[in-house]
Amino acid sequence: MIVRQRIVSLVIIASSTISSFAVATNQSAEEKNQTTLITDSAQRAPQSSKDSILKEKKSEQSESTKPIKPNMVDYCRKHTC
Amino acid sequence: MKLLRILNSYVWVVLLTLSIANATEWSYEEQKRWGSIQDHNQHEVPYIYPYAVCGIGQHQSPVDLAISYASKRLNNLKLRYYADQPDFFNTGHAVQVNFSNDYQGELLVGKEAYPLIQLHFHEPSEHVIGTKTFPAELHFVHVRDDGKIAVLGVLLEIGKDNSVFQTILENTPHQERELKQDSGVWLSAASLLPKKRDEYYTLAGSLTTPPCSEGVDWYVLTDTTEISEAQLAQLKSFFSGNARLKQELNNRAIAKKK
Repeated sequence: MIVRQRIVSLVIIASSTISSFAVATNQSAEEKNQTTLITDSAQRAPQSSKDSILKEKKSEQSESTKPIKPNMVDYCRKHTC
Repeated sequence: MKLLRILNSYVWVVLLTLSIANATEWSYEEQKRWGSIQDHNQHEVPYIYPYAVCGIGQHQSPVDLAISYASKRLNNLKLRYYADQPDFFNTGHAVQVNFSNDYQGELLVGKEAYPLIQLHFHEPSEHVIGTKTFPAELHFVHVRDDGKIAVLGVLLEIGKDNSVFQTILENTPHQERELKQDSGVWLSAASLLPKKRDEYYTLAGSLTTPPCSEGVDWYVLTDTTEISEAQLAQLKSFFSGNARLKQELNNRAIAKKK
């Protein structure tokens, strides 16, 4: 009788442990999913602002890489040209 | 504690190295790698190699003037160099004379006028004729308002004392990057020119110092100016070996005005 009771309690404990583990796994999977979604949206949301920053940078660069006509008179006074 | 000390000394070594490497300096000793010197003040292409043209340019100066073709169709040069009270400048690379801002001296190539801005010396000569290298070379640098540069080269030979050259040597500071202004010394640049001024070599070239910019019109007189042995020694006491090695012609033609 005692043995049977022990077996039953063990089965109950085991099943509850398994079910709680399953719930926990499911939750973490959902959390992961949510995190992925959040990350995606976080990446997507500022994409337009990133684009505009890139555009600004590009325009800045194109301004800065424009050939600047140096003042050669001044340059040749300051250097052995 | 010991580890901290080692770390501290390491940080100082790194900082010192960085501060030395910060300036985009160049020297004649490392002239073969001018083109690959990096500008540590900027990190964006294409400014990272500020002297790239020195390495990849196809119209570089100086050159060997030995192979030239004679031409009578070239422009006459008129050298209108007047007396001036210039500044004497030790650039750190050469002995240089900067003419005053309102100086009227100019080089006329046909009808095109190029105002004279400065003159400086190289020892030995930069341009060579065959196997002959001259003791020194004088460059009269002319720059138009639009940035166009014409350089008149005069090859210097050992002979008589040149009094104008002596004035330059005596007034140039020995300290590198030092400028002597308002000296009140009158200088006649024309006295540094040889007697014969109507014959010259000409070709398209570049600055002979970094950044080696191309599009420079070169005129090198065939006649030479004399300086004494003692004066050459004095010039060497400022800078010796401040000459760029001869560059490839790369299909350029050198014309010689007869």
